[in-house]
Amino acid sequence: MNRVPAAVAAFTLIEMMIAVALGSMVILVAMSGFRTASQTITVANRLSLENSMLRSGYFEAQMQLDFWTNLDDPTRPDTERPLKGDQSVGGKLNWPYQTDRRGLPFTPMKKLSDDGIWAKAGTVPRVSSPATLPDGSRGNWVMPRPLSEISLASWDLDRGWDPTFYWAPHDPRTWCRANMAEKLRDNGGIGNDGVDNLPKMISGRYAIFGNTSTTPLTLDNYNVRPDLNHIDPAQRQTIQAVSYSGYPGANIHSWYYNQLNSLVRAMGYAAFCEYLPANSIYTWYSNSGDRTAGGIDNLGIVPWYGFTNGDGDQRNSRGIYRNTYSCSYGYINPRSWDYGLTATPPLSGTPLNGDTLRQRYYQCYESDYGATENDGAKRLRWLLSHANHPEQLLDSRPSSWPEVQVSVGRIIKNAHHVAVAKVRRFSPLNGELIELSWTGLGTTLRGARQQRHQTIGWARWDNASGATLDPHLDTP
Amino acid sequence: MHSSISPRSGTILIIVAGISALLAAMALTFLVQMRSDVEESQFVLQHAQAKLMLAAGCNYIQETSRVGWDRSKDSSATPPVPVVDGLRIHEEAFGWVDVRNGKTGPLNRAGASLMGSDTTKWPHIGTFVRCPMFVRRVPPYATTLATGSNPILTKDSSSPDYTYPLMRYPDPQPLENLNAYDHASPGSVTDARYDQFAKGDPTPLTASQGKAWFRIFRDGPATFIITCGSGATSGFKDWGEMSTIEREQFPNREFFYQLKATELRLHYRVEWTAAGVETSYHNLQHEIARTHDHYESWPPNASHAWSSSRRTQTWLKSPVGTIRWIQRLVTEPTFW
Repeated sequence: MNRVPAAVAAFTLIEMMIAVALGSMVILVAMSGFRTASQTITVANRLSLENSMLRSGYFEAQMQLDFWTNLDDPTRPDTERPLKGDQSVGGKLNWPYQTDRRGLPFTPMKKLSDDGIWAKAGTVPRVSSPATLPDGSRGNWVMPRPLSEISLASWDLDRGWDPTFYWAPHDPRTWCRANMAEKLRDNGGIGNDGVDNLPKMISGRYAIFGNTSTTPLTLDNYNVRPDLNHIDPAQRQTIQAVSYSGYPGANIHSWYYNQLNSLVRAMGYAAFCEYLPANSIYTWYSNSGDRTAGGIDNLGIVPWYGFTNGDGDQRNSRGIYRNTYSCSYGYINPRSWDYGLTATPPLSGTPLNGDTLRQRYYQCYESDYGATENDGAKRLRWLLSHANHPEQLLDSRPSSWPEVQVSVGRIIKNAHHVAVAKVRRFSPLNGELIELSWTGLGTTLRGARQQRHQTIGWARWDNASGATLDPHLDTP
Repeated sequence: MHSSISPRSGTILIIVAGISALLAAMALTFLVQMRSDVEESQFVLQHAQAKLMLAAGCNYIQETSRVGWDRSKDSSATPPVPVVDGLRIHEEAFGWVDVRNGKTGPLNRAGASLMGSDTTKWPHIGTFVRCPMFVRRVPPYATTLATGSNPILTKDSSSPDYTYPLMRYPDPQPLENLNAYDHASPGSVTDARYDQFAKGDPTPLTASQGKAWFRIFRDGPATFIITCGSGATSGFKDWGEMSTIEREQFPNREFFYQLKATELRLHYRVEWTAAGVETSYHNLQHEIARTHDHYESWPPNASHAWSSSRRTQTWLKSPVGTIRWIQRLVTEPTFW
């Protein structure tokens, strides 16, 4: 084989220079392309990670919307479930019914009954086993009762929680026999703005036929100027005392008033509104406790009485809209920090607990014109930050990973039960913050309570005729 | 023999090929990762669609508590459809649990059942209804958003209509000229074309099909299981549930179960109640006078809230009731 002489095979200087230049350009271009591709991959990985974290945050929020696990984890022991107990609020001053025991949103109905907060009484049976439907499935146990059954006197004397009861408009015991116009009148029976006009209870004393008590009682006296049109001006000013004693207690309407009187202390004010039908009148005549001269429990009618707001200084009966127009009730995350309603939020803190936590479930918070400035604005900030208490999606993570926070806050505003979900992502690299926020539709409190076993874990439920049904938090 | 290929020529080729292979591998990894991200995001979309179906299912339960059981065109209906002024009427129901007496509804004004005699068919207790969702090409009674059907004449001062509001045309006008009124030819509005306007065009938009569905199982007078689906099974539980005709919408059994495997299904229990109220009403303390007892209400933000907006309590209406509670089921129920 002939070989090419070495001297002939070598590069000339020109060839070498061109070759080196071209080779350098190729390598530079290749390196540049590689670097760009590498950076693109890095950024893409980063974005992928951030998107993945956001997705995880979204699903965590959806889980909380459907299972309320941010407020109560049923898989934990009772010692780690602060919203499951019931106690008094601990002798706080200026607190309505401060010595009464109160429950919280996840206190079992059985415990509420056993502890006398919402005790079962009467002879009305609770349906123990739903009927089997034609297709072989088990029916639901919430059943309307026929008029012939619910018109019996024994039904009005029923007390406590009945999960089988269908709160139907046709059922007379669900009717609130309150005079919507009746006002709490100050000033000795004259108008509450000082004008001498109408006497108290001009339309009659409703407490004598609708009351928490069914036994004859003596009602509070009150004074009236009975004849404002008397020809003799002096007679118009003659004050007369009105008294009732020993009025008949038989056949009095008592079921509705007792339901409200107990339910208001059972699970917190937000739950009070959620368990009552949307058309409820928040007025109940009572024979005990703090009440007006007309016998209406102050909790439902007196401005700024914990449950009620002071908008317009309203002193008569209200529905859900009026109660949640200028103020809201909310579900407070028990892991949110304990500090004063009007205090500047601290940089760190300890979780709410004990009396303070219970009190926060038994008060309203300004959420309208009263919350635009000063202390009202601070209380609204407190409510929103404690209802939507942001919590880390991951307990631990690499420091370069994005931080994701999730919260689902539930409040009632203008009669709307709102669940606001928020997912936030912080980038540790550039400090960028992204927040997804939406109002979600999902499980309500009653649904969440029915999901939970009476003791620990999730309650089994199925509609197969032979399926096991576990007792849940609403099982009496 | 002289070799025409220098061994050095392969060096550049190897380098370029290696870098290209590296770039290709990185690009492939990138694409795979992006595809994975898209697939995971698709699950987010599915979940959101399923939750939308929960809202749709609740709306369905609320609205059908009062309307939708229209038998006016069924001359063989039992009991007979009431006749008013010689016309068979559209019947109104009074709730899943009748607000008048607590009986299981829907019942008509005379108290007769609107459920039909076949107790295995919806809406009898123990039966279900399937509602695959899609967008119609033209919904019933569709109107156009176009404005200016009745312009005020401002150019011709000699016209007797100059500057007058004319109100010649019904406003709004039907969509896509479905029986729209034309002043030049008023005869164009006909009963036949009104039917067309009333029906719209039920042809599904192809892109909207196979996305989501809901299915409602009535397990009590006012309690339901809503299953929310995001996928293309149209709400069929399994192959065995389908009739022969229903099976024809799927190529075969395996395809159906493939669709089912990629579908998201959420199960909820809900309770309907008539005990609702128009939520914007409230009773007044100070609007009229603090010192007088009165029974008037105030409907802020309602369409009938004009300057003197006080109303009696008879305005507090509950047209379709409300949903009392919702419970996401932890596991799939046997019957749904």
